[in-house]
Amino acid sequence: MSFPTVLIVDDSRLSRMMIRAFITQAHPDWPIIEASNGQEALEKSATQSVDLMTIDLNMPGMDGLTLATQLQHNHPTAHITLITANIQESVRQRAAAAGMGFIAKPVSADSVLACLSALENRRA
Amino acid sequence: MMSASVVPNHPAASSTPFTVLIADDDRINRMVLHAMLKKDGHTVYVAENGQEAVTLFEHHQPDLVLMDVMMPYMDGYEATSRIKAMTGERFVPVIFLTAMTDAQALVHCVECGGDDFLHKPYKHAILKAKIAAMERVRQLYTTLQSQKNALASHHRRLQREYEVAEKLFSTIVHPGCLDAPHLKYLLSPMSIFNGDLLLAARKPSGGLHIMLGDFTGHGLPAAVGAMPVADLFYVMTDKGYAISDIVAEANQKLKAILPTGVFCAAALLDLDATYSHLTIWNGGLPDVFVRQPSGGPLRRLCSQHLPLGVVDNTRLDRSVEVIELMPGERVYAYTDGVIEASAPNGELFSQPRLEVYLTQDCAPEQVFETICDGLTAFRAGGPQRDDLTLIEITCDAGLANQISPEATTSSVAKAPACWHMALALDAMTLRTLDPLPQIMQMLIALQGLHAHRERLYTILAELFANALEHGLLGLDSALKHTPQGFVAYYTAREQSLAALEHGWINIALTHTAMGPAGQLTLRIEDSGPGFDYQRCSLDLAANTTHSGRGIPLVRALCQALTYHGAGNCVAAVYVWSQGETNVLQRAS
Repeated sequence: MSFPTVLIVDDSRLSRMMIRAFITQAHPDWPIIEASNGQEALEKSATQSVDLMTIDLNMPGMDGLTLATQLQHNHPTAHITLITANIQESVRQRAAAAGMGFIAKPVSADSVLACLSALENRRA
Repeated sequence: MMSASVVPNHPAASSTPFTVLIADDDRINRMVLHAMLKKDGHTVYVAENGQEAVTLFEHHQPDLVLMDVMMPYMDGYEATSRIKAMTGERFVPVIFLTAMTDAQALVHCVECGGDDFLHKPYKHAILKAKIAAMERVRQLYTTLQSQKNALASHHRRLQREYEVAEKLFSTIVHPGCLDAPHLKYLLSPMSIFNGDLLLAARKPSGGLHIMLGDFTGHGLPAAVGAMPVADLFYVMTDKGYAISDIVAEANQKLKAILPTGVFCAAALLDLDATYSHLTIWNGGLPDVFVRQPSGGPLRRLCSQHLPLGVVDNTRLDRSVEVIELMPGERVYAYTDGVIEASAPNGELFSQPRLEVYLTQDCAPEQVFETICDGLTAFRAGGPQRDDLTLIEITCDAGLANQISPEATTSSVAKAPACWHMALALDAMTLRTLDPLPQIMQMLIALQGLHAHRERLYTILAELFANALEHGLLGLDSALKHTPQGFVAYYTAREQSLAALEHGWINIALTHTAMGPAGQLTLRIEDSGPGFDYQRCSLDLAANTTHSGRGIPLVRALCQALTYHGAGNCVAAVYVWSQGETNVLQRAS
């Protein structure tokens, strides 16, 4: 089995760096793609398969939920986790109904690893 | 009939006794109203015209006024205006007594400050209801007023606390020597408390330490961590610690105090006294750039580490990167606030755009201002989303050395005493510890000598570096004279030191008093093979250690500098007298 590919979408460079570091710590071989907005995420994921995505909900331009819905359509088997500082119940319900996970900001090693294990359970 | 009523019931309101002022020129009207009010238990004053009403109001401060419109001497409009002007923050309702139905006249009543009307002929039940209604309004008004006062005093207290905190904060997180002529910086915090941190401090050996940090978030929560970090940055730099030691201390401190998810992306920069090389630790800040005076391709120093406060010290990588600098080169460090500044349409300033500014054809001394102007124009007055910091360091030792040394508070040397201190360092100690800050601390504690610190540190650092690098590690100083030589030398030094298994260095300091003067003898002996010091004086003269100063400088600072034994032992004699406050001239 090849290593899963991860897509990190966040407008904050520092947030992307931290999520990458937490993932790399546990899985140094997993390829990681970074995008700083929705458009870039769609472009970078257009030509390859993606298995895991972390998407910041609150970004300038395309919002995270719209992006997540599009990416889910393009990559139906991918595990998507939304990252946000303030989770509105309505958003949580929509995301849960679409089978997406949630991580609350600030992101910690534990919360990212928990989202990785969700993926591993799915692939197992 | 609906069982629920939207009108609140106030049975108590109508029974609250008031002081009421009646102003009416008609005797019958006065009597009727007086009787009704008396019956309800209110205290009543009566005035026959507007002027009398104003006078009575002043004396008795009634709770409510019933005001006729047309009266001799002063009409009801004028009297109401005057009364309302006297009430201040108290709510005193004025009810106009009128038979008028003319809209214009009624509007005029309200404009003068009237709160309600009572139409003739007067009915007791209506008067009672109106007074009850006014009481409800008055209670609401009183509650609102006391809440407003509480809020205002709360706000004042917060403001005072904020001012105290801000003063404390800016005393601890002071900018150090950021105003030096070879530094330019832009600090643009979102609020009073900056979540970005920019510090600069002179090293005791000359040269400069700079720290740029960016705490997660902004405002007060982000700024709290800045205080301990700034404190230890200044203290440790002053004591002669290297940036990797400061990184370790800061990381440990922040890991202990910051809540999960809050950390500090930071870069620490160390510039040597001659500005010929830069040592850097970049943990999570965007790429630091080095720009040649002529422009052209930039050198890039990427983040190699996690931010401070993320992992504990056992997993912290404190290794640094060293690069050579050419005179006139400029180093640029900045926080994410710069590259993530957004235009009104949401577009980010971005690192590529910053690189365009840095590489474009521009006079070197204009680059910083051009970036700042570009940033302002790009944001076009849009809202700032993060703290924003940018610093430019010009590699110009001449300019840099114009930094005036900070006045030390306890600069009085202690009377010369006699003491001896000896330190024996084995290979393991040498691998893990830089003994110089500790020795300097002991020296200051025993003898004061703040004013001589820079000279003493230089002598100690040069002689110790020679003992370690040439005596024990056997490094060839010729390496330093090749292109990129310093970096190669530094790498070789790090590798050899990490592999050091055997050997020792003994350091002895002996101080004797000679009347008002003191004499310090510094003796450093290493276990290396030594060298032929009688024949190598020329080599020695050309040798400069990584602090960039070398033996010739040490010789100039000392009364005597002599080699002994096989050349593996050196003794330096330094003489000082009280009141002497010379500072080492760095002009080479």
